[in-house]
Amino acid sequence: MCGARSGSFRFGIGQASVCRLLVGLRIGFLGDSLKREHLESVFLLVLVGVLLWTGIAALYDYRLSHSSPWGYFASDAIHNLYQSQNLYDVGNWKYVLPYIAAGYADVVSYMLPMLAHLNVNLAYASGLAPSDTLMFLCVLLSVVSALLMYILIKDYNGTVALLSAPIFAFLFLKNFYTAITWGQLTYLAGSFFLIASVVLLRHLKEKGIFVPFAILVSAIFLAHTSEFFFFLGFVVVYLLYDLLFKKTLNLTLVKKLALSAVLVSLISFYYMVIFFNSYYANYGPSSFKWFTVVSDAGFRIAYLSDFGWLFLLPILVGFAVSLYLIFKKKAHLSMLFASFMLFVGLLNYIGIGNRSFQTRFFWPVYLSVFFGIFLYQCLKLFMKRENSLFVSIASLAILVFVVISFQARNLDQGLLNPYHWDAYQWLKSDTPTAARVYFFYGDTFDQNAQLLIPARFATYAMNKGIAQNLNDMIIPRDFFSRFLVNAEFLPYRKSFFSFGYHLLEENISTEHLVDVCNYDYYVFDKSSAYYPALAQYNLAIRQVMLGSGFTEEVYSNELVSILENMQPGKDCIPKEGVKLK
Amino acid sequence: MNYRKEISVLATLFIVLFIIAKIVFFLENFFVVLRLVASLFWLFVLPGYAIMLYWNESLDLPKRLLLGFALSAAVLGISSYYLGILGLHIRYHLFVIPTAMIILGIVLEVKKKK
Repeated sequence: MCGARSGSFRFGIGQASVCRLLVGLRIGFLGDSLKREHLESVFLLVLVGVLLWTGIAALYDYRLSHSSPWGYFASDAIHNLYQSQNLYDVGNWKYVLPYIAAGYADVVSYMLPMLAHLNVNLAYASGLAPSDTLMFLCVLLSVVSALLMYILIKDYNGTVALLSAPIFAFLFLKNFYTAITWGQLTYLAGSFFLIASVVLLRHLKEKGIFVPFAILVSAIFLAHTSEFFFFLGFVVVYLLYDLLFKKTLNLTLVKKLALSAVLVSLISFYYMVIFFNSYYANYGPSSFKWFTVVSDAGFRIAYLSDFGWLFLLPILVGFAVSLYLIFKKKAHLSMLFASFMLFVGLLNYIGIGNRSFQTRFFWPVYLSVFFGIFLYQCLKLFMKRENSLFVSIASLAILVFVVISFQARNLDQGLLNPYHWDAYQWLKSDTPTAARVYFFYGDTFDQNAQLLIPARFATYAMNKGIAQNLNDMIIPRDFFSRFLVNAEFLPYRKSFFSFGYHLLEENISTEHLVDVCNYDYYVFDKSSAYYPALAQYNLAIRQVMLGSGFTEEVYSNELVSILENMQPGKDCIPKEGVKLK
Repeated sequence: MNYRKEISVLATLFIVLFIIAKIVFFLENFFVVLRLVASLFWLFVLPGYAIMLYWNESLDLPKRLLLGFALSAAVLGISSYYLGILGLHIRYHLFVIPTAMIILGIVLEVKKKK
């Protein structure tokens, strides 16, 4: 390459030497680039491995397939499970199944569709049960969200991105992990698409990229709608930042956003109509509560203190540095986005309530950039030249330290033990679709979503009624009960834009005294870990029913007994009740 | 655009992700893990990669892979929702949607080259 060439000019000896030196340096530079690229690939793959290990390995008992579900620790998680199972069985999301719609067959399926459809497609493709793919999918989406945030930060500074990575581990630690274990799963899916949309926002000027951008934004709406509104808020903040601080308005960006908005409206239109006539009509206005400090939606709240002071202080310092850069008009999109999502997570104090609390579960992703900025500034004080190998190893070491320090120990299977699961599957496969099932006391039945797994009309005895009966030493004919429906209003379509609400129009009450002899099947827990007296009471009721001659036992395992009522309406329990001795 | 290099990266990624998955789920059967990883590639990696090829000059491979993953998920979820409402049982969606996306991606790339 540096030899004499025919044609233009010839190298002298000195020039050839210089040329060889420059070529050598260029190859050396390329070699360094290749090494950096490989190093980063190895770093990212190790990061993925550690995050997956932390998030799903123990939760799933180091397996993918299970005889009964692992990882479901609350009703919300089980809601997602049976919705996926219903979709798996029925094949579409058109109508809510009658057993959770008070028997109505025309109730529009208004639940957020995205996660269930992803899960069921994965279940069919992998051959695993939807209950096995669901938690795995949510952990995977969380991990990919972290990687998306990584590449967003990398656009600012590669070293900051490497140093931000250890904070991602908190996704699966402390209160942040309850987003998965306690079932804030649709929120996770919404956040995943939100982050992807923000990453693509930077590239909106590219020809045609507004189309995938619009698809991602539509996906936010169908995954978890509150994230859609937070995303809109961020886009406004992003534009205002340029307008107010940099005194510019990127008209090309505005035009692309407008085009995207049209596409989003078209793609999401069908579900938008359903959402605003169902969820929003019933819950929307009442969601706004000033100064909410506890969640009334049954999930744990994550706090900044969950990072531990060792990691929180660097995050706060990094946030302060980012604020400085924001006001100096030098902030990168990742800092603006992280600051915005920190602010959104604190909006519970000014009216956003539960939706604000939910965004905190992804603070380990959003706020990671602040940690990276802090470490980077510290590194600059001690290292004159950046050393990617040292930074990568240090980052992975901190990551492993975080995992070892904070990982939950001794995770058990969760709410759905093999005995109840097997009983539910028996009910699902061996009883008529329209069967009415009555559940007496069970230790975990306050997490009542599990009672919908058998896909039968489900009613359960409320604990306060049972306790009162036991106190009075009587087995009554009528029990104070709750009839399970999936929602409080049961919307149905009168026309494309107009909806009625069965629950409101027919004034259906879900909690009242019921004659238990009007049911087809009865589920009894034979033992209790917390209230043995209530389990004994169960067995006493069971004995009375068997003694009536109208019922017989059709299923039994170590924990659960199921009786079938051969003649509903007859006296399976005497009308006057039975006094206990 | 070096297609061979990118395909070899995808192949390597598949193998490495399988190894990671087998370590994470070390008590699980080899073929169950293999099928899961293959499913992930079929549903979430290949369709998105094919579509994002259109922007291979402005976005590097890691960005295209990750954004492609998100795009695959978005298209899969949205299309599956609508196809179900239109009457196609969801068990068929995993054949229709990724195939359509991959073909579309290839067509867009070929048209761009022309």
